[in-house]
Amino acid sequence: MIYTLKAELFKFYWDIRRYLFNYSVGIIAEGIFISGLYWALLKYKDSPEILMIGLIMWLFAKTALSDASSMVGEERYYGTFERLSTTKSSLFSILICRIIVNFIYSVLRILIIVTVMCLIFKPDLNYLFSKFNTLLFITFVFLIASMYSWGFIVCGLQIIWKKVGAIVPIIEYIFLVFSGIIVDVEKIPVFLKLISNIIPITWGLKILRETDISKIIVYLTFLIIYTIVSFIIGLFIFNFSISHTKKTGQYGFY
Amino acid sequence: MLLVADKVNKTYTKQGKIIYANKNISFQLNKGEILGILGPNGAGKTTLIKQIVNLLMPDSGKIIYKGEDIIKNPRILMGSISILLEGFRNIYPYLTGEANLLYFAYLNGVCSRRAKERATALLKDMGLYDFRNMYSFEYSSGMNKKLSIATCLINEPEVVILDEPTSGLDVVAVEDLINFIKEISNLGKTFIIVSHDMRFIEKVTRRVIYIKDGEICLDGDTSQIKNYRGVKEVIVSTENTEGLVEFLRNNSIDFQSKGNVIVIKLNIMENKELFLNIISNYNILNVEKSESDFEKLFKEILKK
Repeated sequence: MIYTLKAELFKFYWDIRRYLFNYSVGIIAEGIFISGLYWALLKYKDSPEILMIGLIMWLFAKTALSDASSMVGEERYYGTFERLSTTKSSLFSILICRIIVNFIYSVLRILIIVTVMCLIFKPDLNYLFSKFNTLLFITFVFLIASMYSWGFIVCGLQIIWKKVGAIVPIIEYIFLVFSGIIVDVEKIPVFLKLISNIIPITWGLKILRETDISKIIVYLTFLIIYTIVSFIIGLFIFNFSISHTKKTGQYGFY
Repeated sequence: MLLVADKVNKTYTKQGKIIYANKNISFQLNKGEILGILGPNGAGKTTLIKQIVNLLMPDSGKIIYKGEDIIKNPRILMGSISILLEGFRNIYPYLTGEANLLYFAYLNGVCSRRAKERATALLKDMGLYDFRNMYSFEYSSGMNKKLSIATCLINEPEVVILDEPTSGLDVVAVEDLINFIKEISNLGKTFIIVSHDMRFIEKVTRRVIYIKDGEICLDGDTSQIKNYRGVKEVIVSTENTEGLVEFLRNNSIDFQSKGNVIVIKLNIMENKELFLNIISNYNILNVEKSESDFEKLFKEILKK
């Protein structure tokens, strides 16, 4: 696993070296979008800090959702998917290590965006780093884990149905609109609340908005169970897809 | 026995029809052997090698590597068998030649120092050392092929499977590859080579399997197969057709003539004096080697 991680760090270094301009432009574009959204929504929100946390959560969710599926898509596009599968590192460990590397990059990327936002909008940082310190951390950990589980579900499905990868942006925007970041969950029509309730960010934000400790425990327990269940489903779909495509001969095809 | 394929069957369904890619394929491979797999397009060669490295699962049958069933224990293969896939599907275009090698070395658990040593040695062996810092998308197709082969060898696997290794390589590079494979094979490495290049297979392999319609229709020693027909041929153009025809008849040498071109069925190596006699005395304008017996043999099998 250490060697696999080293390989992925090495590959990412070359990727950054080759496409530094594209990466930089990506950060700027994302920064403009998130800052604009934050600015536009400020006057409709009681708590600008939770809005900011929600947007940060969404940025992580967006990365988590697309990481695994874009890796599989890219490898199949280059035709190197099968070649990778015959190395000493298992495909799953390569995927995990690439996710770790991308996560480190995402943290740096989001840190840059948030720093710029903090300098421009000057939110109450004490609010972010005192009252919700531990809770925020625990919520974030499970939220990210659940989002990566979603990523594995999408990735697994994409191995069988190649076009699934194309719907990832739709899922990303559903997460943004229906999780309570933009529109408060209470204002979402009842028939659309089902969508809200299956989005982990909804539960993350509920935890952060809630002041009643018993309700926080309920929401957090739900989020933990949700993460475990979605991780198991993600793993099952991923493994099933691998073995299914190895039987049908579609394993390496783009 | 290093590798055993036991009654391997693989079918695909295309437009409602069942296509047999592999039918009851069985063979055994010893350590250090160089096995050639030949066959026409769509015969099931690539399907077979993909099953050996667990990129495809057989419908039935077993593939045993070092005494372990690879379906039950696919980990036995990891890092032990390397495969060069057909085309340029083995390297990353946005990595340099050296970076490609190091990436695959790390993925195969090779430590940094050893990886760099191996990469340097392979780049030199493949004649790519001076181009090591170029992105592989800047390489020619032949250079890409050499780099792909090098990535397969970076972790010193026990078995190397090469699918069409000579496509895109010039004559000199093919000769280099033949010598390189023979050299590595002498160190105990096992090779499975799938190729349409029969002259390459003839030169490099010691054993050949011929697959047609998913079935093995020939499995034997390369030299034995080469002698299957028992004759070698030369095509000569002469100004003295009548004299040469008479000479061939008198010496009971089989031939076919058309105009001033005569195809002489003569094993030159065993009949050097007779051949020199023909060359010196019958106003020969041109001598050509007939297509290799190997090629002819497989064309005959193909027709059946």
